[in-house]
Amino acid sequence: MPDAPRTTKQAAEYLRYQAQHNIRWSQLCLKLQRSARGLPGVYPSALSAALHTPEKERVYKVENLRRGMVSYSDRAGDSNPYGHVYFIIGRKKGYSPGNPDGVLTWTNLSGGVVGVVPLSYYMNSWGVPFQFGATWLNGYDFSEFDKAPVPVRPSLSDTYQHAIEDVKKSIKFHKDKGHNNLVTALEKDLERMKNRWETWTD
Amino acid sequence: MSNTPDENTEDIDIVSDEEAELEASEPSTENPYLDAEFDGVQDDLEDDDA
Repeated sequence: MPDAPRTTKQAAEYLRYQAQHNIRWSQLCLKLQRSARGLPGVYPSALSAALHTPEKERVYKVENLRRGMVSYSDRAGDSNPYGHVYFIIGRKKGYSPGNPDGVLTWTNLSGGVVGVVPLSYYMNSWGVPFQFGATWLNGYDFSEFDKAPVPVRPSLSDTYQHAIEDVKKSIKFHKDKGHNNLVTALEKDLERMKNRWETWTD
Repeated sequence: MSNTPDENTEDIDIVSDEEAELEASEPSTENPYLDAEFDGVQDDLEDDDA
């Protein structure tokens, strides 16, 4: 378990430390972001974390993104069904609020290097569009940015069991819709989550 | 009454000059999640290094 959930300022400092010390997070975008916030692991992929983010915690307009949010980019139907998650740092001076060139983010890049890129980078370089920002991750709410995230449910065990049930429901939903790539990815996530749960309850 | 902005009302979402300088000038354009070896694990759910 991480020591404790971290405020936005502490999360940004954590990410900067990773960059300055060349600590590599190869393909582990979700682990990087939840570690920055000092949160326990719940979902194995950005896909699962995004799909199960409550609607009321989502922000779909770039102009409404705030410093400290996590944010997701993904392109449905490409060869990576798992998407990507990163941290919203804020806006550069002189840019209009809705301009993705002016929104800076902390992310892990190729080779696991942690760095700062604009929001437009994910579309321009990777071809994956912005989906939404959020003040929620892994069952923790951080809508009060200057305070540590708070768990929505009373215990990690409760959070985890609900997360497993939610992934099961999503698999059924996307099976009915014929979203085969998503179903395959979610089934992998569910297997990993169940395996971890078994190690706790053995 | 002065129209000078109160520094306490400065937009907290505007990045500092120091943060702006961290922006990568020429980041790799390679998408690590399209790597053939990527197995879908974006969190290994281990907390020992968090």
